[in-house]
Amino acid sequence: MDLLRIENLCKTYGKGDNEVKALDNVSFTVPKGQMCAVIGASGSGKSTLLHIIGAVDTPTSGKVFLEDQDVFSQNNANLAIFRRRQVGMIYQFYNLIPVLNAEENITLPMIMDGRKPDKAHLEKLLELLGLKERRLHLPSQLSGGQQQRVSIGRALFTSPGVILADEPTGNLDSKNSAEIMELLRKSNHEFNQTMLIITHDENIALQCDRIITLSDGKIVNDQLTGFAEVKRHDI
Amino acid sequence: MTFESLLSRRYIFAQKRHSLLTISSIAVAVTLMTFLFCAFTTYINCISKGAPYHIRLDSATTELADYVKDYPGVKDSYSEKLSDGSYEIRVFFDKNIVNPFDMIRDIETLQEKEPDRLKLDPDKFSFKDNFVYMAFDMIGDSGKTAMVQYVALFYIVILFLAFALRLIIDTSFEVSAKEREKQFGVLQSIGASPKQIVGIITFEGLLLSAVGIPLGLIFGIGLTFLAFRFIASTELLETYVSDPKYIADMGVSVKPLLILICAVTCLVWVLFSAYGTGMRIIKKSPIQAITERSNTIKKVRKGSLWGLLFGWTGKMATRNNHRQPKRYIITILALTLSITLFTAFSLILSTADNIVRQEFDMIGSDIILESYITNYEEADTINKKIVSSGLFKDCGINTTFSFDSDIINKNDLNRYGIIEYVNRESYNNTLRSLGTVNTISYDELLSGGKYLMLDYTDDIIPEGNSISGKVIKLYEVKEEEYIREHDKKENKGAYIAGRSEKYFKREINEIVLPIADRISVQRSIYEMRGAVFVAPIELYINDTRDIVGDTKYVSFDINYKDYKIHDQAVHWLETEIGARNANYSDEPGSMIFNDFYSERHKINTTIVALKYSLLFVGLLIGAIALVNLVNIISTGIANRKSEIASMLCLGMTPKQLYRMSFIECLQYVFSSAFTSFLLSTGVIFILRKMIQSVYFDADISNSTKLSGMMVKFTDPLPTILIASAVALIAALITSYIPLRNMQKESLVDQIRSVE
Repeated sequence: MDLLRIENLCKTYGKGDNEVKALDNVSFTVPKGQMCAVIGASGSGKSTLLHIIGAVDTPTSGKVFLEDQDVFSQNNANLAIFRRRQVGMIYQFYNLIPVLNAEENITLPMIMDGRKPDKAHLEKLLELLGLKERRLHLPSQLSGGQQQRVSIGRALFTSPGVILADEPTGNLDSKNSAEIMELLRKSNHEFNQTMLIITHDENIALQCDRIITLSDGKIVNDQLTGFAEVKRHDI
Repeated sequence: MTFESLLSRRYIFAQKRHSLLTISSIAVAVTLMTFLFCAFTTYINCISKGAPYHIRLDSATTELADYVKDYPGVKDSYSEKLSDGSYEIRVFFDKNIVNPFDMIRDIETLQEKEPDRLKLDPDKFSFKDNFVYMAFDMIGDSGKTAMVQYVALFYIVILFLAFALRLIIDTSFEVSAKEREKQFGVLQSIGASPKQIVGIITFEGLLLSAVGIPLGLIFGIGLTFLAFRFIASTELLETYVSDPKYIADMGVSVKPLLILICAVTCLVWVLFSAYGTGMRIIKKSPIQAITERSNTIKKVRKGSLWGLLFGWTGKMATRNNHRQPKRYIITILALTLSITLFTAFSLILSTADNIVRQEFDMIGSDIILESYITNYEEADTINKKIVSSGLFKDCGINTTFSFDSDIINKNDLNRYGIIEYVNRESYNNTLRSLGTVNTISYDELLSGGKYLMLDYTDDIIPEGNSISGKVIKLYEVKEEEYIREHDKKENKGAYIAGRSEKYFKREINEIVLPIADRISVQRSIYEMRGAVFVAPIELYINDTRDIVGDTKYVSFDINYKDYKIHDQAVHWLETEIGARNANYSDEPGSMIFNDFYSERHKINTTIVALKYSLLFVGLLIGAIALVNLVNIISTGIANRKSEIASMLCLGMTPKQLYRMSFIECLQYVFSSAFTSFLLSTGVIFILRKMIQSVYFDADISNSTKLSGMMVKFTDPLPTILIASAVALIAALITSYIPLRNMQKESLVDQIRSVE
């Protein structure tokens, strides 16, 4: 079953001579539980695609369906709830709230929702992230890798349908990168979450089930990797 | 509200500097508002307690008390028997009375028609009104009109202040929120709704108000008590408000309802400011807020004046300031507002000060002692006696002689000239009373043996640099000699001095007065005189005494050394000099003096009050401006920490860094000073119109006096320059400290610092 469906997505910046087509009629689907890498050169439209799927940006035309629901048919308030409950965003520069500690940053989407965070779930996640000892530290007191773990924890905590990661290892060393990818794979496995990961790193892309290649706002290649086969056998 | 309150509380503690600035801004706003409200209610309290009557009738009788009690429109009347047996009646009117002064007119008419009815002593009976109290009680048509004017004025001031303070609160919220724009974008991207973002900022405003408003209320009330204590110590209350016997009844009045209004108004401002800032933040989509670099330069100018003046550091500074246009504009606005407010208050107060000083100088001196004497030596003796008494600051001598010249009276306008020989003190007094100092000095007149010409019109043209005419020299002769030599009745130049007639012989002498400078004095008294020629007294003693004759009349301009010993000084004049107060003595031939103590003292007290007001307002506005500036500049540097570190890595020297920062500060101050000058010009335009409208039908509308009061368009320049210099120094110190601290930290750590 397709969890995510993208139909004829276009995004244009500027007008007239300055017009730039960041996305040019992009269409694809992502089934539930798939870990999908989006690669491409700088300016190919990867981040724009991710931001539109996460409803933090709006398309010029085209549609995004998540679980058959047209994302952009909703009003602003509902879009906020959509981002809160159905999407988890991971950024290259973590984008943590500096005034909140690690635990609070992770539980923030739940707090926003007016819900009480499930303590057992939190403990499990902190364990998975290796942040138990650092739960009360502020972002400024954490290393880059730890900050990215917090960011991943925040994206995972509400168990959203789809996790969107914008170069999650782009700011990390190879050891930390490997750990983060392991973590993402683990959560993909454990929670059967759909993931879209933007990356420049071919090694990272190869760890995913599928690689979509973008160039000048268009999909120029879309192929499954060996991991997809392994997963199919697992199932 | 859990999420909003959690975030807002965290932001308040995390951003201590911003929170302190916002609390200070709120506290300052509430302080000013509370102070204004309390000052207003205190003033009303002083008016009603310090002079507890609408109209007070002095030297009254019981018959008058009965008459007043039954007078239509009188609500209450209280009569009190005084030690001299007379009555003092305090009258309060009903709101329905049309004109309360009709009662006075009716009393006077009745007294005239039936003197036995009210049994008043017409010479002693008097009344005093407390018009301001009547206005506040809305008594009579004029009272009602005045009340409307007072209230309108009060609300105009409140509105103006409210607007100014709202901008300051807005600025602090705007700057604080601007720094967190990216974080708000992140919050939205992970699911915070726009309502929640607005909620965070609004809740933050509410929490900061919970500290700022009570602080402001306490400071405001405290400030009112301090101001009242200060005013009470300057005798302003006795001068303007109270009857001495009621002075102890006056005090600060704090009305809980007004305090509540003040607190609520300020809370509403804060919430509006916070809400408005929140609404502006959520206008941006999350991705815009996260990725948009607010410091992206959209347009790069190839050359800039600052680049030409200061090289590449100037160019960098210009781009740094222009890449954050909103921040730049906010800073300029805040600075401009503060400088303009300071300038406007300074101008208004200095104009008021000028007007009051003009009034002060018009009187010339505290005492004018007039004496008919026999010769100059007599005047000199009196002068020395006054100076050596130690009770007076100075003593000016002014002796006059009439001067007849065809040039002065050329159109048969019956104008005559006057020669005034004065000493240094009197010369300075004269110049002060004319409102001019830019003329020839006493010493220059003395060394050149010349005269200063004061004339009403320009049609008296001296021949070259001198003017010739005649003086009548009078010298005293014995009666027999006078009768023997001058049989003609009209030559009897007798005058009364010490109840004895004196006889003078008259001699007409030609004199040429060399003119050193001339001043046009458009006062009616000079129009009548035609021209006055002022010269040092030494010129008279050494050169012209033989031509103009001996001194017959002299006036002394005396200033008290200290107003506290006024009574002692007056007593000394009466006992040691034998002078009589002109108000109580009409004895012919006596030496009389006019005591302007009360007028001058009142004016002096006002000048002191104005000076302190200026100082107070200046300090307050200065403090607000500095807090704003410090916050904006220090956060600006903190945000560019990584970038500055990169430049240092590239080889920028600390000196170049400070230079760039100096130019940035200079640009802020320069732009603000320029905008302030434009705004101040507008303020002056309004002030000039106001002054002209006040004096439009007075005979001084085009006089030197009015030109002295008039604010010139260049007047704010010194104030703006001073305020700008202070702002520049503050900005430099503010930027120097974080830049110096940054150099102590590791460059690599700074480059990595994102937040």
